This record gives sequence, structure tokens and C-alpha cells, in this order.
Amino acid sequence: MCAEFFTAGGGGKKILYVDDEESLALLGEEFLSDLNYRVTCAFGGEQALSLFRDAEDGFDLVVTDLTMPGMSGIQLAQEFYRISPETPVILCSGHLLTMEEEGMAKTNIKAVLIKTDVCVKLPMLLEKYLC
Amino acid sequence: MIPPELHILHIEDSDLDAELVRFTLENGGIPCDICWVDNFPAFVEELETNRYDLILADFSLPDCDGYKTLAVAQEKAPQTPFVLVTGAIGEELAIDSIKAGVTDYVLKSNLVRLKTAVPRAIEEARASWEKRQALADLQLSEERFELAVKGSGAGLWDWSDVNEEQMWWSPRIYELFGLDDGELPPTRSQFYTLLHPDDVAEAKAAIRRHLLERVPYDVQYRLYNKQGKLIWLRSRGKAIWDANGQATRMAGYLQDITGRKKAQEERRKLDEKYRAIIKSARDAIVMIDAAGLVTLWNPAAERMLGFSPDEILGRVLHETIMRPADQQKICLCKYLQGARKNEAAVELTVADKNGQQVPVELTASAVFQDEQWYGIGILRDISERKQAEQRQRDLEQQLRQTQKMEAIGTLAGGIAHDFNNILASILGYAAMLEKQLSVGSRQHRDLLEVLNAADRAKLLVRQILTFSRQGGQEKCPVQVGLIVKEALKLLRASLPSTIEIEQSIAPIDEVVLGDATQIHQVMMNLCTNAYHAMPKGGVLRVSLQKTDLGAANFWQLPAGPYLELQVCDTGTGIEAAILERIFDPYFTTKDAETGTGLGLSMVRGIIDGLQGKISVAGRLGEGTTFTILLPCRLFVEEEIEDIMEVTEVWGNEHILLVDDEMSLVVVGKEYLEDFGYRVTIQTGSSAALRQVQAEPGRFDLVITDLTMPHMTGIELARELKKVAPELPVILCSGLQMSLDSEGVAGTGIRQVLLKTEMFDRLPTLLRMIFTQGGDD
Repeated sequence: MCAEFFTAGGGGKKILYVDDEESLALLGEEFLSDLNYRVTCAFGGEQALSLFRDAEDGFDLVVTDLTMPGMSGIQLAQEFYRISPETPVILCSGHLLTMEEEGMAKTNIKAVLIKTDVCVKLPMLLEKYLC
Repeated sequence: MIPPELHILHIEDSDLDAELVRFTLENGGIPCDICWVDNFPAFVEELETNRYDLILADFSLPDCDGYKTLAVAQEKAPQTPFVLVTGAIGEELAIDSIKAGVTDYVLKSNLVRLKTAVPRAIEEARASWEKRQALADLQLSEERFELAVKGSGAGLWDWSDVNEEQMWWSPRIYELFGLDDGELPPTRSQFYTLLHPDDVAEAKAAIRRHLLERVPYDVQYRLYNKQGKLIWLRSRGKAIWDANGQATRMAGYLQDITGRKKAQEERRKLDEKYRAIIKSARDAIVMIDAAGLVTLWNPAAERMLGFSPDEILGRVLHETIMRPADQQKICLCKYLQGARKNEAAVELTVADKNGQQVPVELTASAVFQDEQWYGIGILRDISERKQAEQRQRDLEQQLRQTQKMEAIGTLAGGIAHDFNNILASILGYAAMLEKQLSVGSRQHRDLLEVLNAADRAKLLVRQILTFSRQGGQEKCPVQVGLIVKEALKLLRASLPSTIEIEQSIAPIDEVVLGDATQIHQVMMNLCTNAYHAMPKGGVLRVSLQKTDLGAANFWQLPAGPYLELQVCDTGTGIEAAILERIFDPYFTTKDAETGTGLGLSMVRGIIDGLQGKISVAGRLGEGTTFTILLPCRLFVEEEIEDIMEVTEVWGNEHILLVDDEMSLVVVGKEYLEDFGYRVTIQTGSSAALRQVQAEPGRFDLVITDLTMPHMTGIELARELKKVAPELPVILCSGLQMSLDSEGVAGTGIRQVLLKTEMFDRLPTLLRMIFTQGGDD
């Protein structure tokens, strides 16, 4: 349904979806898979980082939660930036965020998104940053 | 004076002679009771045991002679006359015995003489006794007088001839003058030389007045005694006047009254001191007697209560002073009249002459003077203290309010964050499930309701996050004036003509660092509230100007340049009691359909986020004024781009929103208005159609629900096409639809939206339709 207007489909692009809340990570995976993305789930920063490093041909985009134990979404994005500065990151949170949150300067965070908007806005954002 | 029966003691050794004497007296007509003794011891015993009027004695007795008996008689009964009754005695003995104190003597040979001798002896004895008594009395009286004069410390003077200089001064007078007795001659002129020169004239005049006009002589004067000590004297005296009215003699006394004078002077000084204290006191001091009459009224009382002493002294206090309008009894008088000794201070309100109320602290007390009760009241003006206390309470209230808001914000923010995670799950999974269900099935319809509800929850949480300032504000330079003008343009179109809009927007170069959408939201929110407060119409005044705040300002904001935005209405106003609560989340005076109770708390959240302040003023029935201060700074050129960018999602076009569910159109209207759109709502498709038919050019776009009684959204779109062929329509549906769905073609429908995504997609979709002419 959300895809109704924006879907040209994911075209098999590789997405890393990070959320410490497993149901939400799985939701992201399922939801984006329906839109023809190839989604890998991670349930924490450390796991996401190792998946990111180990991925043979990398990821096209990362969607990550902000508030996670151990490593925040922004810290994670900073790590990704060191490894692969071009990979776009979309930051999700239960809070309203701006593009000026602390630590965002050295990341490739392209957009911030309130979690309740994920289902509606994420497809559009993916299209925009995967073009 | 002879007693009726004489008691006579007779000493005589010859019983014959004794009998003769008795016979002679009885015969002589002298009634008497004679006790006869014939020896000395018996004589003495009788004298000691009984009282006699007369003693008769024989001169020669065997155990004594006349001298011996006389001696014992004089000792034992000195006042009793003593008559010798004897045989022949020589002339010499007779004279001797008379000299010794015998009253008389009678010869036995001539007893007849007793008849005259006895009464005479008794008479003589009494006369002689009385004379002695008188002398003794005089002596006693003189002693008494002397003691009294000495005791009083008075000095006596006697001016025996008022035509002469010479006087007589008592030793005490010399002592008073500090002189030795007789050191100076006691003359009149001498006296005047001793007096204090200032008092001489009056002293002389007083004497003259007494002597000539008999004015009582009682004067006080000063003199320096020989030792140089100043003493005060009081002189009193009296003259004697002769038959011609000429004063002859004058006498009197001088009394040292220095001590009394000093005490009087001390008291006068003390009185003066007390008067000065009472006069200069900053507190009002008043005094009333038992009848309530005012006996004291100091200048501070005049200042505090407005009555001058002339107006109130001697008047009844509670009948004169004003009573505070809200008091049945005059508390001041009640407390004063009930005062016993020292009462504890009480706080009460009094009214001055003009009825103006003054809070005071009253300390009441009572004194008794000459057994009369007096109530004393000390009134301290405590206006300033009261104000300070009020300020303190206000500050505490403000602090509590701030703390409360922070606590609510933190709590709400925390809950909202967790809630969003939950909602994200619900929304996401429900959306995926929805795709697996066949459109039109019961499960599909039910699920759409779940999505619908979750969507509303999502909006609510977003509002909570906004008021609790949990981030989310993009800071860009914003030209507030433009946004205010834009908002007013939108409002003018949507508000009824009964609302008059007055605007005064000063040209301002400064910008506010913030989020244009949010500032727009603030404007729309405040103005919509104003409109709701004026159901019968009124004036909405909006002003914007620049103001510079000093270091210590009412707003408690840092010094610097600020924009002052005021939104003012002439509506129903807000009760003072709830004025401070209106920014609380979920506080609303509107019914559930009109407001969520989050509007003003969101506004406050936004203003706080901009480091500004918002305040509200007004009274019930007198309209309300919101004043907002936002820190601003000078506009910098390279920031223009940002300003342009923020206008991406908003517009001012007029949209007709049609849905048969009231709650949805209300939320939809609020939402779209936040983006600047003018929104007219209709809950019936037929009514919507009629409205467009009446004014085909009024609306720029129609958003309609699909499923409505009487006429579906598609049918409405088809009808609208006839009236306004260019009018774009967005169809919202709870069901999965596309532009290819049946009946959509050939209508003005440009987009089909699922209700659940309506709010998120509309802002960009609307801009897309309006700017690109609606091409997909």
C-alpha cells in the first residue's frame, strides 16, 4: 500500500536494518523484503558492525535505531562512516530528531525518521537515497 | 459649783470634835458624806483608795502634824482642797501653812465658819486646777505646733507691722537661705535681695494684692541660697486688717518645693519626649477611652487613615472611621475595645477616609489611668510586606509550575518514546497484514480500523513530543513577520466575517532562529483559540514589533533584542483561577470535539524551545491577550536558502475536507491548518457539493472520504467535475484503491490515499498537486 505511489521496487538493493527490539527489526526486514529489498537484520550495534564489515559486497544503505544498549545509532553510523563513507544511513527513533543531533557531523546520515513513520516514509526515503 | 453631796475625808483624833464638825456642816445646809479617820495610816489608805472633794485635817495628831498630812495629800490628791480644822494656832503657823499649800483654816472655836470656808475652798481649788490645766494645754499646743512646723520643714516669718521693714524669721528660714541663724537682719528689703531677680516683681505684686485686695497670698519663687544652689520656695501667709481695712500685720511660712519642682520638670520633659516619639512614629498610634472616644491620634494615623486630629479627636472611633467594604464589623475597633493589657499582634484590614483598604498589623494594649480604661492601638502598614509575600508566593507558584511542566515533559517524553516503538510495531505489522487480506472482506475492514486508530495515536504522541520539547526542532532563521502575515491571510479566508482582524506588523529585519512550521503552528493555534473565544464575533488583534529587553526585565529573559508577538481577542476571556493552568497539557475549556487540550501546551513547548516566553493576560468577559517574546538576531544573507526550503510543505490554499466522521475532519483540519492551509469541513457529501455549487471558485482542492451515506466520494467527485472541472480532488479511503479503480476515471480525482497514510503524505502531495498542476 505504501508502495503504491513510490514503488519502483527495491530492485534487490541490500539493506542493513538495525533495531535492538527484535520485533521491529524483523518488521523492517519483512516490510522491506515485500518491496523487493534484500534485507539483513541486526539486533544491536556490535552485531550490525560485524555484519557490515563481513558483508562481501557491502550494503547499499543502513536503517538504524538511535537508542540501543552499548552503541547508539549515531555511534554506529560514525563507525560505518569510517568504513564506508558513501553508504547512506537513515536514523530512526521514538523521539523527534533533527539533522543537528550531537555526533551526526561525521556520519553519512541522510535522514531522520520517527519510528511511527517508518512504514509510510521509509519507502520514499529509500528510493531517494538509493537512486 | 458645789457637788450635790460632798465626799469629805476628815482626820481628827477627838471623836467629839469630829462629831461637832459633822453637826456643823449638816446644820449649815451642806449635804455631805464624811469619812472620819483618827490616825495617819488610815488617812493615807483612804487617800489611796477613794476620791474626795475635800480634806479636813486637825493640825495636831498623835502620830502626825498638819504638814505631814498636807504633804501626803498633795502627793496623793493634789487637786483636792485641804482645810485645816484646828485649835488655836499662832499667826505665824497659819501663814506658814497657807504658804505650804493649805487652802484655808478654821478654828475649832469658830466652827461656824466652816459653812463659808468649805464651799469657798472647793471653788478655789477648782479654779486653781483649771488654771493649771489651761497652762498645760497651752504648752502642749505650742509643742504640737512647733513639731508640725518642724516636720513640714516650713520656715515661719512674721511681719508684725506691715509699714515697717523689720520682720521676724524663724531659724528654719535662715537654714533655707543657707545662712546661720541671725546672720542677716530679717528685713523685707533684705529678703528681696536674696530672691531670683526675675521673680522679685511678682513677689512684691503678690504681697500688694494680698494687703490691698485680700487676694490669697500663695506664690512660688526661686532664689540662690548662700551656697549658690537654686531652690524653689512656696510662700503662703495671711494679713490682719484693722477696723479701717488697713493691713497691720502679716505672717506666714516658706516651704522648700525644689524637689517637687524638679519632679514636675522631669515629668514635663518626659511628656515632651513621649509626645515627640508618638508624633514621629511611623506607625499609627491611636487611643480610645471606655466610651470609644478617640483621645490620641498621631500624625502617622492621619497619614494612614486620612483623618486629621481635628476631625477625629473626641469622636467615637467606630462611628467615624470607614469600614472595609467586605467587613461586617470594624475589626480595628473590636480589637481595641477588647484590649486587656498587652495583646498579641493581629493582622487585619482597615479602610482610610476614602475607603481605600490598608493591610495593617495591630498591636493593642490597655492602660488604666485614674481607674479609667484606655485602649491603645499601634497600627503598622504592612502593604509592602504583604506585597513581598505575594511576590514570594507567585515566584514559588511559578517555580512549582515550571517543575511540574518539566516533570510532565520528561515523563511524557519517555512514555512517548516507548509508545512510538510499540506503535511502530502495530502500524507496520497491521500494514503488512492488510496487504494479505482481500479487499472488502470483514477482516480487511476491521484491520483498517486498527490502522486508523493507531494512526490517531501516532499523531497524539507526536503532539506530546512537541510540547515536552523532546527535540525535533529544526533551527533555521525565520522571518516571523512573513509567517504572521501569511497566517493572517489564511485566517481571514477561513474566519467568519463577524471576526474583524486588526494587524500591526512592524517591518523587522531581525530573524528568529527556529522552525517556520512551528511558528506558523503557534500563530494558527492562538488565532483559532481567539476565534473560538468569540462565538458572537469580535476583534482579533495581532501585532508584531521589535523590543529590547534590559538586564532585569519582567520576563526574566536575558537582555537583548526580542520580537514581541501579541494575539489579542475581545472574547469571553479566561477566568483568573484557571489562567495559569491553560498551558497544562490536557487542560481544555473546550468540548472534546473542538480541542484536544494539547494546543496551548504545544505552543508553550515550541516557544520554550525557541528560548522565548509566553504569557497570558485578561479577565473573564474582557478578552484575552497572549504575548510572546522570541529572541531574534540580525538576518545573514547566506541563510536565505534555508528559509526557502522550509516553505516546501506548506501552503495557503483553501481546501474543502469532507468526511462523515466528525472526529476525523476535526483532526484533519487542525493538521492541515498547521501547514498553513485554509480548511473548510463538511460531514455530508451533499452539503459539500452544495457549497461548491454555490461558490465554484472558492476552493482550491477537495479531499473527500470514499464511503459516505447518500453519495460516495467518487460520486461527489463526478458531480464536482460538472461544477468545477479544474478542481482537483483527493480521494481517501479505508480500502485499498487506485486511480484505476472503478469509477475513478473521468472525475477530478488526482490521488487516492489510504486513510492511515493520509496525514503523512498529504503535505508533500498537496504541494505536488499545486505546484505541478496535479500530474502524477
